Amino acid sequence: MKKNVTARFGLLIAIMLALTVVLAACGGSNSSNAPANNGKNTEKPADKVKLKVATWAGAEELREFEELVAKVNTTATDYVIEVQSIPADYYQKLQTMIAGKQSPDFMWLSQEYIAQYASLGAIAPLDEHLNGLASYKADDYFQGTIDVGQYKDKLYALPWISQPYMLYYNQDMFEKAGVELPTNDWTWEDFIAAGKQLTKDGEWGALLNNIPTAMYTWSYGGDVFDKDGNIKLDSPESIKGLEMYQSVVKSGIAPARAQADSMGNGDMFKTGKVAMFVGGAGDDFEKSSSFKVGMVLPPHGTEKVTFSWIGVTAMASSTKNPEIATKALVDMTNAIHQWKVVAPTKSGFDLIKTSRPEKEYAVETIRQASEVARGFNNQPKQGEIDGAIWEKLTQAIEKGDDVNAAVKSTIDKINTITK
Amino acid sequence: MASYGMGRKQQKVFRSISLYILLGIFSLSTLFPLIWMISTSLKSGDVIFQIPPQFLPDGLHWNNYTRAITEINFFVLFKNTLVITVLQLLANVFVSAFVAYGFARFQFPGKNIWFMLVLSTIMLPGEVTMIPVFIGFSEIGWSNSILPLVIPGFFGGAPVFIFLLRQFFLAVPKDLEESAVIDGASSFTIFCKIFLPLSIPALVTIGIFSFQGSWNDLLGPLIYLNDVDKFTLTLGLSMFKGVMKVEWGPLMAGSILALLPVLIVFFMAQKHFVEGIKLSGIKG
Repeated sequence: MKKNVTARFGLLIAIMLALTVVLAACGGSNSSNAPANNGKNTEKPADKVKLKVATWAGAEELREFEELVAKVNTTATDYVIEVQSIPADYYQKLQTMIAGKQSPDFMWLSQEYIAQYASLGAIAPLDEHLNGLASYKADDYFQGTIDVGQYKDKLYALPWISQPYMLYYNQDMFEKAGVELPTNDWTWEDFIAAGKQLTKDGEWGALLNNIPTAMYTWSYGGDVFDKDGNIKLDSPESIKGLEMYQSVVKSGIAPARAQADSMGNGDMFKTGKVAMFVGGAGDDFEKSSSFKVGMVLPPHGTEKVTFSWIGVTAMASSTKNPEIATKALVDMTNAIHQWKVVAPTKSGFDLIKTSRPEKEYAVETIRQASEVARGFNNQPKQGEIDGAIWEKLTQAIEKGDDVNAAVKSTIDKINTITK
Repeated sequence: MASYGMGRKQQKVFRSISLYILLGIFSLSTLFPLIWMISTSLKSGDVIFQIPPQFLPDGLHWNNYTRAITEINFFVLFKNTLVITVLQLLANVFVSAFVAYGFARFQFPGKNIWFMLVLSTIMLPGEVTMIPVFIGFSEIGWSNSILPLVIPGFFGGAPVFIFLLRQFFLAVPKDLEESAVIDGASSFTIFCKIFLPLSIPALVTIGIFSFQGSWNDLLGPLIYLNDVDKFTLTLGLSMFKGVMKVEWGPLMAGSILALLPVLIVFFMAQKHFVEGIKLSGIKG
């Protein structure tokens, strides 16, 4: 019996080892079947500068990006770019690589990481090398998108996508309730008034969870920080915006945050439970909803403005030839503007008409939004600051606490973080 | 009396039926996530989150499996995962057993201190050592290879397994060892001919844990491997989880394909696994 058991255990190990050896032997010849060719240019002369770009793109998106980079490589005379896929825990891997002096030359970043990486010296300013580079057209970018790449008056990253937040609405619900459809000129008061008319048993006028708290301050000319990093949260404009936020919450037009989170924010809109939803211009509600979807600029106070999720590519400070790397970065970014929607540039903007035909009805509205869209004035410790804003400001306002007291307590917390 | 209803035989049948119904309900509730995973792997992207949910609303979408296999180069990643898993398994089972044998049966200066040091590494979270260890392996040119994932195991095994096997070896009667010594066996022979065969249930249990841990490991391969054709299955499957969009159909199809080897190993070694849990007192 014992012998039998030993034999079976041995057999299991032997099978696994044999499989490993066989597969390892097969693997060598299979490597050419890997997705595309990692962006490698097969005809690379020895004197070309080798560059690596880290991306979070996965599966189909990765293949498209590799094809795009391969095309850029074929026209380049002095560099060759290779794609490095980081499909999970992107920032953890990136930070480990930077710490281990293995940083890729370029890295995709979400806007909130730029100030942090720049202050730590992980990414390099581009201004010096961009000067005189004909392929770089600063004026072509929507101002808000290029602003997020700035840190201490230097440009550290080039944007490749900008998803301005739009006010989506369920046209069927509006028509059924006899409420006038939203317009690009809607104020927060109009938003509340319509929301009240649309809120009834089991249905809500709007969903607020996606709207960043800072966006309310912007719409009255305020902000959390100004461009120099000084706190502006206690300015009268900011306070006015935050008071409007509290009025919207108190009006009862939206489900409680926890309830909306548990039911899936976007799903509530898709299933006709809420009439208005603030989401990115690229969201696929037109395809995934069974009702007629409309889209306008989000409501405003004294200023028309909206938040935008902006993706950028930054250049590592460890790159060996920053001049050629900057040129490669500009070429690659220009190519991405012809691939990703919504493009952060005026010249690339019209791509949305062909690549997302279902958005054609709202192209001009999205263009208007792109012109007033912006990101945060990010700080080196933005992650912790966002935590403080959520804990001390957003939650306090939603609970109905005094706005001035919440602002004071938020500023105290931010000061301890930035000390 | 007839009014009391069922006879003893009927009562027995009734009890069995009730038991089976109860067990059936529990089994179904346990199997539900797996069934849902299979159904999701066969749905088209549009209907996965349809409300009310339906099991197979629009036919069988086998193309999710085709996408899972072609888009992430499934078989190359499968091979990479298998190589890493088997090498880690060998290190974890045999080297851990070897070290545990030393701690259980040899007397040497500072033995308890060394053992405490080994145990203390269990308490140390991997995140704390990740960056220094990565820097170390980068310095010797091992980044972007499987070497940092498999070689360390051959220099000492895994502390948790050493601890478990040491406890197991301590329970082996000394008489067996002494008889072998009288017969002229060396310590290594005793380890191979007495300790290993007697510990098969424990070794199989550790083997299964090691297999499962390596097969499903995401962080290790993520940190050390850079090229897509060196990736493991967990990394490949992560590619379907985009920042903006999760491709649930191919993700579930790929997950099922990746799950199969773990299930096969588990069922092959199930008997020893249960025995091993009884002996070592651990379970997953």
